[in-house]
Amino acid sequence: MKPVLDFELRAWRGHIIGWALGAVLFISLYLSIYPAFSQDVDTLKKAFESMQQMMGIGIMDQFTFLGFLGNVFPFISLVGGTMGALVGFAALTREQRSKTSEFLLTKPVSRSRIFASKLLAGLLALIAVAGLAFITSLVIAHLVGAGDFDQIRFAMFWGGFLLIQLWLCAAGLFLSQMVRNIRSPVAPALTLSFAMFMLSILGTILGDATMRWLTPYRFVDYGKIVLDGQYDLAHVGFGLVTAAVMIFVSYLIYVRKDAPSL
Amino acid sequence: METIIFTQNLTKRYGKARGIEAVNLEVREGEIFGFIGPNGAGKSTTIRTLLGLIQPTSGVAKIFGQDITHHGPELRQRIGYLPSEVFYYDNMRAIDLLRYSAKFYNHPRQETEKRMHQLAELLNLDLGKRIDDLSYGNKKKVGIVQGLQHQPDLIILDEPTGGLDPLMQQTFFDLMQSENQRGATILFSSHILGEVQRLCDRVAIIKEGKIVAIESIDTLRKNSHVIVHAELAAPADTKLLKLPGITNLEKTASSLRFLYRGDTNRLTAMLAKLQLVNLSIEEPDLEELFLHYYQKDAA
Repeated sequence: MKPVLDFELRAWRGHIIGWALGAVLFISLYLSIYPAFSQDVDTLKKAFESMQQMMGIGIMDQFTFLGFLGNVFPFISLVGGTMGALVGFAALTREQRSKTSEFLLTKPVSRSRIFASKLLAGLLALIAVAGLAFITSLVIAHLVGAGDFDQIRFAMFWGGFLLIQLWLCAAGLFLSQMVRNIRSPVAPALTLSFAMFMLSILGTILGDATMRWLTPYRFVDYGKIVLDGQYDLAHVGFGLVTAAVMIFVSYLIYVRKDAPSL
Repeated sequence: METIIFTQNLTKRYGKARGIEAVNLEVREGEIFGFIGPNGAGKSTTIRTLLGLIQPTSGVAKIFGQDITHHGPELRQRIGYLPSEVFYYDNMRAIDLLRYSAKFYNHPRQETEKRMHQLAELLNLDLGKRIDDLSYGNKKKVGIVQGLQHQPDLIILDEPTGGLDPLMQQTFFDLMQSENQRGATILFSSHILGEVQRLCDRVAIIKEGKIVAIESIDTLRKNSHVIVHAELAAPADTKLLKLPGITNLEKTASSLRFLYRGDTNRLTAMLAKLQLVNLSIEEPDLEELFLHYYQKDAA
């Protein structure tokens, strides 16, 4: 397992750096708005005070750093989700595209191990990006004067980020095994990630709760994290189980399928 | 003598399309076994099945006495494979690719490294170059090194000489012979019969997914057919040419050419009845034998 894992991690190294930088830039862009936003918070608070009393704590919390983050985090998670989908589509098809699958599959290593190594390397790449983005965003939060905020809740945002990455990775993996001849992982990954994101926006506009089950971008309720410091366990659990099922089915297909002729 | 490769009714179908049908092979220890047939006959499908690249539809396939579907990884520890077309990671240097390949095998690392350098020197291969800077022939040399550096007990070659110049082909054949002398069994697939004739002990002929004959090269040559070419002073009596064993008859008023398999005395008795100007009887080369097997099967 080790040679394949080492090889895969080396292959992902450049991508990890690229995606982490992309995520950091994106986070910096959004969080840099916060100081301007927070300077007007007193005026805004008064303006919304009556509304706040009617609607409870929801609006008020948007003026805290975490509340602000909750509003912009879906866009940040789109970066992570797209990377997840890309990793999923690329993990098992890269050898096929470079026509090196025959080289690997004729080595004394089982397909189960190859699958496990590639999946593990992909997941480690996602965790690395999420981890780097988390640490950087923590630093940026302090730099932009976010003040004291609940760091556990802040970390929970990044847990959600990782869940979205994982689910879209699993979906990419699954689709890459269902569809033949994926020439490039970029187009299907972007399509999948943005389609899921649009579905998430549509669900919010329509206020349709059932649509929350259809897209990973709605598995995590950021408002609930801000207010209660909790995940919506049913949706998170559903996300984890469906991701596990997609990975398992991908595994079953991968270990049985014929290697393509060169 | 141990049977190294054994297949019984090995079948692979791609939906309704033909792959291979009931292939029975037995390759013995220490043999250089030829596997010939034109492109698309099923040679690569058989080899890819043996290597676990594709799953058999039915039948049995064993290597070193173990079933290929259940013991693939451990069997491949003892196999070296050179495909007809080689594709490697373009951004790697040849030496890094070969070291990566070596990591999969239990063979002592130092020995593998030493053998890698020996083979590279023999094949005149620059190991420091990146794969995408190598010519097709040099990539093929990388393939040869990665297939042999772990000193496999079974070497599987699928149309191995494409891209190698004639001198390098000779080096390659010499290398295969020395590997065979070391104790390696070789399965050598080719559509170039001269190569098989040069290297192999026995040969299986495959046509449209089915094995049509397995014979030793000597038997194939000696007991099969002769080519008879006769120049005639007068046209031959048609009845004479109905002698059993005559095939591929080409007849003009002044000449005859045919393949003959059967009792030599009957042939000479028949020839004695002709008014001959000139006569030659030759052993056919494998190309002609090969054609004969195809035509016989079609008939």
